Amino acid sequence: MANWLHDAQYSLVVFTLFIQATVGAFWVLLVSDFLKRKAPDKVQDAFTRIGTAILIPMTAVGLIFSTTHLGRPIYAWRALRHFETSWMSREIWATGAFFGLIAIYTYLWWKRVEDAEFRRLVGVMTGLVGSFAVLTQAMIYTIPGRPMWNHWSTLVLFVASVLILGPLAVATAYSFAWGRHISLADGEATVRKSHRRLGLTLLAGAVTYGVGLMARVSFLQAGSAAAGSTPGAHGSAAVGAETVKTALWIGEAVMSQYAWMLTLQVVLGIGLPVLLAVALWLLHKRGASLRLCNALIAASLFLVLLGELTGRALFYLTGRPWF
Amino acid sequence: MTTTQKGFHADMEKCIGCKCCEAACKDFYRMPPEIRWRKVRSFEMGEFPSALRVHLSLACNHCEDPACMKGCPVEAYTKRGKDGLVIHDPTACIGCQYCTWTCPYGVPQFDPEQGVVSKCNGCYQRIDEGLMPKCVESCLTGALTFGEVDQHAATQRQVVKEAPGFPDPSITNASTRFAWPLKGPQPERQLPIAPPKDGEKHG
Repeated sequence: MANWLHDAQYSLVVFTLFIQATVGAFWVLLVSDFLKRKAPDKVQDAFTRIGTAILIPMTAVGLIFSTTHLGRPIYAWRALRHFETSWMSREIWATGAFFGLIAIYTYLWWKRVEDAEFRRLVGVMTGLVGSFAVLTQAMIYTIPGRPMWNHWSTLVLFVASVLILGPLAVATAYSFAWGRHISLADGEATVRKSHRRLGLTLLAGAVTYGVGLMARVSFLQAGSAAAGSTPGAHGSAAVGAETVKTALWIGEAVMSQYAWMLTLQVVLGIGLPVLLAVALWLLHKRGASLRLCNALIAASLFLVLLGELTGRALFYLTGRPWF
Repeated sequence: MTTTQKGFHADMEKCIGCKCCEAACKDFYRMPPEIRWRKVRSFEMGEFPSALRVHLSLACNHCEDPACMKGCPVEAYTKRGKDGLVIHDPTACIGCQYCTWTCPYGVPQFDPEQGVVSKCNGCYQRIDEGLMPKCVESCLTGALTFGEVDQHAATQRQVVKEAPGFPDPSITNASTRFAWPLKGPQPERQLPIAPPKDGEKHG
């Protein structure tokens, strides 16, 4: 089990997903910050403020897990040195800056709520830095050294995680706040509105995830099929550029070996968000209890996260050494 | 400074797979059992009834465009100006293992005990003393040689950038060169063989 967890890069699985979830959550909060710019809405403000409380803990979890991947975590700061050419160094810069900026953004929401224009300026910068952090994460894996990852679907899958996990995390925070920090009567309309937006975002995320995953699976399968018709590629005797086919063949073989993980990824990572979006639409249409909707969202967050963790672990498992 | 890129030349016709090069390297640098800077890979070429058992001795390829060095976030890698050898400094390494992914040839290896990566440095201290790398010195058959890329004496028979199974060398401009077995499939592309330099004997 320990070896499997190491091969699946559990620390990087948690790190990448939690940072992506935080970036997604941040964008949701920033958009809601901007949406009520012309029509002040104190209830929405209260929800957004509580929503910002999840940002620092989520990023902190990601950053802590990132250091467990290192052989000498005490020297982790040295990774800032080589931003000129190293995407990993750029990732550490971007993630560190994102962490600092969300701390400022959260502080502004909680301690200087009246300074809205400055907060939004910080918010835009934070959103851009966070998005750049996700790009750097994808670029780290888009390398010829691991042909199984060296494909545009890597970026698409990472963006899909931003679109799915972030809004779900914020919606769960809203659910928690409603009835505890914001009265049931005051908050109901805002929560219902947020559920409609959540449904649309989840559908967009699920489509993005589906496109990315289909592209990735097709990429590996096509490479594997090509290896079958290339002398030596189903072993260790392909030559030159043909050796990439051997790598894709290995990636596809690992994916087949862990077909249950792919199934879980599809069902929980794509199917469940779509199901939740449809369920929320139907429940709200019939005026169903908000408590039921909130319970569904919280349960979905847990299950979708499980699906995404599984999918990301499979991503790492397929990137096996090929020579 | 003008770089005279140096590299290894592995002759698959001469290599008998004895792994003396591996052992000499491990012994000289006192490596733990699971770390092998040089690895001899054995595989089959051709098809029955003329299939061949071939051995390929490989270590760091001291690439002209090293992916390990570009990707390393802590600048633990440097490329020497005078001979192009790619040197890894384990004291700078934080053990992120990114180089084990960026290198297509699987050269850098992570040692969980030390928490750092290590790899073949081309015995640069020996090179500076005018000696050959330990692996080359120990090779029983002369299959493994070292010198200026495409120029040194052992490259007289054949100079090929690709070898069976060896990941596409154009990714990083690997400096290792090969000579294929005399029998069996032959390489599609060969590099021109340089004339001997003054004072250097070929063959």
